[in-house]
Amino acid sequence: MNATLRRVRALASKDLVDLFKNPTMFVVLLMPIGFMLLFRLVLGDASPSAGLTGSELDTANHEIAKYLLGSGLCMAVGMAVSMVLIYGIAEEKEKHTLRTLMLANVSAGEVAISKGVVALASVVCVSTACFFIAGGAPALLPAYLVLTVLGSVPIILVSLVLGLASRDQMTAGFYSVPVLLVALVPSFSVVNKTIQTVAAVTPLGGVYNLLGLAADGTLFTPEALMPLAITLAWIVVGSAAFAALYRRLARDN
Amino acid sequence: MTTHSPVLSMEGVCLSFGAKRVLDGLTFSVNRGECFGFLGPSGAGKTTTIKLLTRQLTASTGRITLFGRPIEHTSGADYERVGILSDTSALYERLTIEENLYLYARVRGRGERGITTLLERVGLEHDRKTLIKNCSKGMRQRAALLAALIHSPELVFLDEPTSGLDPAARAEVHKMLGELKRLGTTVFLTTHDMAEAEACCDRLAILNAGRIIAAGTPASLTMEHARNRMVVTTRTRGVLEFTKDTAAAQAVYDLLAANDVASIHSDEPNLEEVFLELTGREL
Repeated sequence: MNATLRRVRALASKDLVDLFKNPTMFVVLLMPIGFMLLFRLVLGDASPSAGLTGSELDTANHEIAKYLLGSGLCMAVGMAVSMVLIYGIAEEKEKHTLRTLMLANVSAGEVAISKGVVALASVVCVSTACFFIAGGAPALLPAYLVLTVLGSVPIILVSLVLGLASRDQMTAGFYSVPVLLVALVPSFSVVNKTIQTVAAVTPLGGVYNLLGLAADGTLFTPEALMPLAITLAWIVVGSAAFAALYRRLARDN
Repeated sequence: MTTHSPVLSMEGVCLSFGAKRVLDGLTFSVNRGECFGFLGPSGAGKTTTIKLLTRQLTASTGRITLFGRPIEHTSGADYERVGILSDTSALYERLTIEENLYLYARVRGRGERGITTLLERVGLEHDRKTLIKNCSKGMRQRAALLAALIHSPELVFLDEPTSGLDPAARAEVHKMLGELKRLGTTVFLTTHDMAEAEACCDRLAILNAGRIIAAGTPASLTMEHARNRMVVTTRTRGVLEFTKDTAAAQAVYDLLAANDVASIHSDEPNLEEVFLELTGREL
């Protein structure tokens, strides 16, 4: 156990250093923040010139803030996780550093844990930046971060499997697109009812809706049960996929 | 200094991929502290044998032992005593040589204090801050070798460690091999460089198409295949060739008595010639 912890710590610190030295990965981590700044600039606050009354204006601003927070969460999780994990593991495979590590008595599980931890840490940092850019109320931050972590778990597990399944960075590009698209679906739920219904059952749909409830102050109501169940169901699905495929993929590696 | 307790052994090991038999009845053992060379042309099964010995593959039949235990009963702790430099070993390109070595030191649970000494041993002390992506192939190979040796393993697997290196870099690697031998480290070296095997190995086995076709010390292998011929360079009659028999002995005696001999050589083959004779294959 001590040896495992020692190895995971060593690998995680290496992954963290490498994250800042890899321009592609670093830029992708900055992208959700850039998009959030752009969204904030484009959407801004509801304009009084639109003919809204005081309470309508407040409601509109509240909905805009909710949308920005939810979109920030989806982008942070989708972009950061797919990049750090799928590309990160694929690059290690392509350049044979994963194999070299395994020959140094490091297990695939230890590599997966260290990469998962670094991915989670980068998601938390990026989503925190998005939170403040979106103008979230500081009181909402703890709930926002808890939901970010909760929503990241299934995406991380699936991305780990896809990372191990990727032969090289080219394949990683192919695998990461669906992950990114699925992660971003909830942010389009404002478009129409159909997308809203579909988005609700996606891996981040649950936390997106829970975030909305938290922003409305109704997180601890029966309304939260369905999105919470959906989120937990995706965690179970992610864990099952990881458990089923990890052993075979780890052996292949 | 070698003792005769085998650090690793194979007994009747076969490996098949589908219908194709890749390794066929391999039997050998490597003693503590010796440098054992595993020679053969590309595709002979050298790397596959290392993969079996490092549990990357499982043998179809036969018995493999490591540190006296059947390989299937070895644990991660046993492999903490092993260092492996594979044919594809690679370090992190965006990290410096020193950062890579720190990583492997931490992974192996070793302090970072000895790294400077290690870097000095292979002449990389002035390049410690160089990113791996900016290193030459020789520097990369030496750095990868250090990463494999950072925990002072008892047993080292080196899969073609000098492949593609220039003569100076090869000499550095050979110097390291010599130092490992002095420290009593057991080395399992695969190579298709016969000169390297002759210079570095205590014993060796020649592998061809998955079978060991000859084994022994470099000297015994060349002696076994020595030709029945000697070459005498004379001062007045040029170069003369004799078979090693009593008639030749008299003729050489006469030349010596006449003070006509400049040199006498027994015409033994080198390892490369032994290999070609055994297999008929180019290296």
